[in-house]
Amino acid sequence: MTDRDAERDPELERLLARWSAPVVPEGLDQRVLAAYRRQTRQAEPWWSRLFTASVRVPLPVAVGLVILLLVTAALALRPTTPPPTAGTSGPGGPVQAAQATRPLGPPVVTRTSLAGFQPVGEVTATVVQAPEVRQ
Amino acid sequence: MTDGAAEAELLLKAARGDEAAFLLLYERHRTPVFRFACRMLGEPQHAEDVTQECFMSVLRRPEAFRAERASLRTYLCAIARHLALKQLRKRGQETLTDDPPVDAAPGTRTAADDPLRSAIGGQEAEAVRQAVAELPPLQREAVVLFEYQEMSLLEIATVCEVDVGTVKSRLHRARERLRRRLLPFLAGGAQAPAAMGRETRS
Repeated sequence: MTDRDAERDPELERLLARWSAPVVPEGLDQRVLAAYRRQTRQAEPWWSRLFTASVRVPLPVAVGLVILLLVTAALALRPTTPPPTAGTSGPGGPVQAAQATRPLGPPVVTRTSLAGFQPVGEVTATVVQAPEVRQ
Repeated sequence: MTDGAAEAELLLKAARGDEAAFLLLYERHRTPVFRFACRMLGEPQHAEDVTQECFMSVLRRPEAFRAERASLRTYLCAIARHLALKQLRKRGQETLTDDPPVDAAPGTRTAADDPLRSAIGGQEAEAVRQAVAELPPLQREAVVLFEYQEMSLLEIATVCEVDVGTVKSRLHRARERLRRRLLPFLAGGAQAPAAMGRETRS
């Protein structure tokens, strides 16, 4: 005779048996399994997680990054014409080659000299009418 | 290798990430844990939370399970009990005393108060559910573990962290309350057996 037998109350047992607990919901299994995977993943060493880790990126950001990447790649791969070098052989030699690279048009003065400059002794201001200026 | 040692081994494997080992343990013990939590809390949603947290917490410290002390089922029920009492405490329903006074308000009617109507309406299961739910938590857990989980007094004592004498005492008081609440449904109750028989057949 076990300790259970000594404590049993058959009449009450029969009545209590009428209440059956609900079955385990199907969703619980998936929920627990997901929690288990999360928990065991956290227990993994960091280097192991590097191989399976994922990052969620919003779609607009992802599209922007892809476009940026494509543009950068296109610019990097674009064929470029090499500039003429000083050692290029030709009839005029290096000097002619250097002149050929100079921009055309009037020469631009880049330096001024104040040597021999003297300020005027007396300043006289004259107001003139506008029509006179035109004449 | 004993069953307990084998389960301890499975538990260690599961904690290390062996999903197959975890599924084996989970499928073996999910029903008793869920049903125990459900009967303690009365609501399946809360029982789901407790079941999930119960399995996760046992995996966090697998070495805490000692197969020589108790079976894994008993150990899981002990964790589920702690979690269930925590939920009841949050709701302000946990009672620290073993035998608080019956405080049903005068005029309050429960399903058990009107057995004929309950039986005809297919409500005797509801009457039992309500009577068990009205038990103080410490008595409720003793009844649930004994009557529904079919645990021995020693196992219940392990789960509840008390001695066997305390378990017997709680069980006795719980049954007294249940008998009072469900008197009309018991053999001595007028009309109840016939009504319940009809209900069972229907």
